[in-house]
Parts: sequence; structure tokens; C-alpha cells
Amino acid sequence: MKSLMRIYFHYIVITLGMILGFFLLQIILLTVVMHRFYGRPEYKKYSIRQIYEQLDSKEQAISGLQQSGAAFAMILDDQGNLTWSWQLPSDLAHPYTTSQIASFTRWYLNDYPVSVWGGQQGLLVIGYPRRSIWKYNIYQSMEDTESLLTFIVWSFYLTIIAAVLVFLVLGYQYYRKMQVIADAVGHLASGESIQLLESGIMREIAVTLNRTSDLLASQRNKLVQRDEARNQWISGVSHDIRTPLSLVMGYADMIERDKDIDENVRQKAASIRWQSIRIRSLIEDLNLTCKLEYDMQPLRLKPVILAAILRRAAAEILNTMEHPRLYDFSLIIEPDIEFYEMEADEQLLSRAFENILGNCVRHNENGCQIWVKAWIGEGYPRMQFCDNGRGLPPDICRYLNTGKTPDSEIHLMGLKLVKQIVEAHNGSICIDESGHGITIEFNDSFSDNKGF
Amino acid sequence: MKMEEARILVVDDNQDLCSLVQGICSQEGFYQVFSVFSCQEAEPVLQKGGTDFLILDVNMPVEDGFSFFQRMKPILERKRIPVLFLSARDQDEDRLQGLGLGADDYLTKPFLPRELMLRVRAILKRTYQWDEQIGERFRLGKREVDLSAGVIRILDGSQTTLSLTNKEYQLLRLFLENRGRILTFDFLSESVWGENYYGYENTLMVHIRKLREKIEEKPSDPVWLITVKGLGYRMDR
Repeated sequence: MKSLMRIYFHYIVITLGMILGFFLLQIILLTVVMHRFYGRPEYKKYSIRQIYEQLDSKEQAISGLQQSGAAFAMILDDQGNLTWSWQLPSDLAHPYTTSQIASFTRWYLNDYPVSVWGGQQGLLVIGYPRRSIWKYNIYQSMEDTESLLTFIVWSFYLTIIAAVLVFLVLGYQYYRKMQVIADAVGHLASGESIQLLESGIMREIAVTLNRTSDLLASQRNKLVQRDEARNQWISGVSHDIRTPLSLVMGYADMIERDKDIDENVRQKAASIRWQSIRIRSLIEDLNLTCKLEYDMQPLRLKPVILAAILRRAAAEILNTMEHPRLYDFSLIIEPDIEFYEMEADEQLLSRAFENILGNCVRHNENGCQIWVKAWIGEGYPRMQFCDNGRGLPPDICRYLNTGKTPDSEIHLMGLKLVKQIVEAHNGSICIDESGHGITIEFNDSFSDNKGF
Repeated sequence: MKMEEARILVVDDNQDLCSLVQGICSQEGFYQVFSVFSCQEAEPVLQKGGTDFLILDVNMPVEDGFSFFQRMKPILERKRIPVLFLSARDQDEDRLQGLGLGADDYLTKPFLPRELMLRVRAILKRTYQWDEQIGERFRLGKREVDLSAGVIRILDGSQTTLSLTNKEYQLLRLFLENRGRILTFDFLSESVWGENYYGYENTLMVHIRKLREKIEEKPSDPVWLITVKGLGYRMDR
């Protein structure tokens, strides 16, 4: 899954960012600490070197000593004799041997931590209060020191690399586990069943997904069984009704054509025959709409001339009308669409057009004007079916325009079939608000305007 | 021998439907129509001979129409008996199976009697040689169309006879076989000029004009061959 790989890369970037962030944070903290230690004014302003340089003016030197927190100070000449002192404890006021000077220079003078600075004026010794400063001397060969520094640098880099590797490996392991889960979710989404291994850190998720899969499979089976039962029932009923309907249609036709029978009876027979044809058409619609709904009706695509199909459908409707004189029918086919060819299922398209026109006729039993126009609009074939009759109810208009099934019990199988057929041909259907005009538009993904 | 003398055997387990088909055929003048209600009953009738046309149902108990047709195919082929399947099975696969087995036609129930008879007549016509038929003559006002002779006779005492060209004959036959029905430009052109009929609309109009000159008293104001604007033409009853 691409999204999972993106998550993994996102995780790596964040991890590297975090490592870099922590590193920068450490540097900032170290800087702050160092600043706190060595950034104090007494460190800066009054180092022992500065005090030494101020010895020409003893007052300034004493002021510097006081501000640096010194406990005492003294100056020794080259023989170790005391030449000057400040607040020197009495037990320390004596000459010092070279070894004593060497000792306290490195360590302590009578437990006082001391600093020394030498020059023309002798050796300045500044003592600080006891237990105020920790002194430590390190003796290390240069070779070892360089090795130590090299080790520290390498150790730093290796630690960073190791941390990154650990993050990568752990992340990849989680990625693999998540990939299994994500794949399983993908399979579920596409309607497949899954069975994950219920172990490890993802056990609970695997158990939940397996249970979901079982539940979905069970629901899917029930839906399939229900649809099969429905289709079989429709198919069975429509099959069983065919023979009785043949008898009704046949005998009605025979009576209608028998000139020895009373005219009134013949007219009734004609009405029975006409209604039987309507029932036959409804059965065919019912079967077809079921098949289209469940993708059981393969489209038999071939190049067809839309105008010819439209004329055939219109002629079929006019030929089977019970009272053709009640309807003023007009068909306008613009020259640009006359030879427009597109890939389509001829039978289905003809059925759709017949249903629309048949609908106009059936719902306007007292007659109306019907006009049909076909043209090319914005490069696509369009057809408009209009009448000045009763018009379609708003619920049906909404269904055809938006696909929203009406709440009320409205019979719209014929137009539902039209919508299914048009959409199966990658077209769209639109009804004007008045319910008097249906416009069909096919886009060019199905068509191939070769022209003649 | 006239077409109406053809011996038609109807095989269907539904007795009412057999009666209906017999009635439809009788109304059309066919008086030798026999019914049996199973394939087992039909077998000896076919073997004995004396059948010119077989109307066969598909769904029947014991043996279905398809397997019976396959079993009887040698006899049917030897005796050149055409077969029309008349079935409630309306799937394309069923239709293809029936026609694929070698049947002459496949009609699904419920059917229009006129459609059944048109198909029966068409099959009989192409299977056998029939005597000149009265049914091939039609009256259009003061004109008589004699399709078998391919002429139009003017019945005004002058005894004028007008010959029909090949295309006019084909068109007039279509109109007469479908009287009262609108025939579209496309249907007429395809029937006369074949599948790639596009571009023949003007030619069609020329032939229609010439046909009107022969069948109409006032060709400029036709009463028989009517133009249906935008759709095609209709031959009035």
C-alpha cells in the first residue's frame, strides 16, 4: 500500500528530525550551563591575571580580590619570601620553599584552594575560602588524549548511526506488520474474505479483522442469496406468465380480427390485446432492470446510428398506440446527428427511447403533443423528449436527476430502466423542473463519430 | 399446392396453447393443423410423414424441445421439415441455442398472432414451392397490385398494366406486408439496399415518388402511401 509506505517514510523523517532536535537541544543546554559557570562577572572582570596587572595600585587590586571572592592574597619573591599580603591568615604568613610553592600551586594551601600568577613583581598567590573550589590535575599522554578524543567523536557518530538504524529496523518491522493489516483492510474493502494469523503484537487487531471478515462474508452471502431468490422469483413469475399471456393476447387478437363478431366486442378485444402487450412490455422491463442492476446484462456494443434507433423507437410506439390520432407527434433530427455513429447496444437504447415515448402516451390517455429533437451539443449527441401533457411528478424528476429514490410509493420502473440503460452507455439523463422534458446526453467515451 | 394446405404440427404440453395456435392458423386459412402434447406423441407423427411444418415448444416434461429436435434432426433434414421454436424461454442464450441447433426461427411467448403467422408464412415460402396465391393480390382503390406477376393493374376499364421495377417491387411488398405500420427510412433502405444503406435516402425518395405515380390516383396528394414526417412512410389499410 502506497499510503503505508508514505507513513513509514514520514516516521523515518520524524525520527531523524527528533535525533537532530535532541542533539541541538544538548548543545543549547551545554552552552547555557557553560555560560552559567564561566559567564559570571567575577570570572570575566577579575581573573588572576587582571588582578596581577593591577598590583601597581594596591587599592584596585584589593577591590578586584574582594569582587572575585578571594579569601586572601600574597606576593612571594623568587626566594619564597612574603613581599605583600592581603587578609593572609597568620598561620600562612611565612616564607615558602620551592617544594611548598610547587605543592600548593598544584593542590591546596592548608586546605585553601589557591591560584597563582607570576611576573616581574613576584608570584601572586590568591587563596579562596575552603571547600569553595575543587582542584584536580590530569596527567595524560598526548597520544592517549588524541585517541580519547577520536574515540569520543567516533562514538558520537556511531551512537547516532546506531540510533537511526534501530529506528529504521524497528520501524520497518512495524511497517511489515502494518502492511499485513493494511492489505487485509484493503481486501475487506474490495469485498474479499481474509484470515490473519492471530499472534504477536498485532493479535488483537488480527482477531477483530478476522471477525469483521467473517461477519461481512456472512452478510454478503445473505445478500447474494436474497438477490438470487429475488431474481429467480422474478424470472420464474415472468416465465410462468408468458404462456397464459400468449393465450390472452392470441384470443383477443383473434376476436378483434373476426369480422363476424359484434364491433363492440371486437373493440374490447382490441383493448385486451393492447393491455396484454403492455403487460408483456412490463415483464420485459422487470427482467431487464433486474439484470442491469446486478450487471447480468452484457452490453452488446456495436457501431449504431443514433438517429436510426430514435426513428425506429418512435415508429414502434406510433405503430402500437391504441389511439394514434390523439397524439400529435413530431421528430426533428438535426443534420449534424443524422449520421452520428456511436458504440451502443441497439436493443437497449431502442428500449430506453420506447420507454420514454411510451410513458408520454400512457400518462396522457386523452392525447397530447409529443416532440422529439436530436442534435449535437458541445460535441456530444443529445436528445430531448418533450410533451405538453400531464408531466412527470416532482418525485420522479428528482429521482432521475439526483438518483434519490422517492419516499412515496411511485411506480417508475420504466424510467428507472431508461436511467440504467443511459448510464450503462456512459450517458446522463436530466429532467426539467416542469417534468415535461427529458434530455439525454451521451459523452464521447463510448462514441466514435465517424460520420458518413 | 397452396401454402394454406401446408400440414402444420404443433407440439406443446399446454393444450390451451395448442388450441390457440390451431385457431390462429385456421383464421389465416391453414386448415391442416394438428396438435400433440409431448415429444413422445410427436415422434411417430414425424416418422410416419405428412408434416410440412413443425412448431415446437422447448420446456416440456420428459423431454425438452431442444433434445427432441436434436434427436429428430436426421428425419427433419431428410424430409426437409422446417421448425419454429415457440418458447417462454426468452434469454438470448436460449434463442442462440435454438437457432444454433438448426431451427428455422425462434419466437418467444407471449407472441402476437400476426407475428407468428408472418414467420410461418416466410419460412414456408422459402422452404417449398407454392402455387400462385390469391393472397399476393391487393386492392388499393382503383388499382390492383399483383405481387406474383410484379404488376399493377388499373381497374378503370382501360385494362392498363404497369410493371414494377425490382426496387419498387421490394418496397411495395414491404408496405403491403406491413399495412398500417410506419416503416422508417432506415428500415426501408436497409431492406432494399442492405446493411450499408446510408446515403440512399434521396434514392429512396425517388423510388417512393415513382411508386406513388403507379399506385396513387393523385401522386401529389397520396391517400395510400403516406409520408410520416421525420420517420418514414406508411401504407394505409
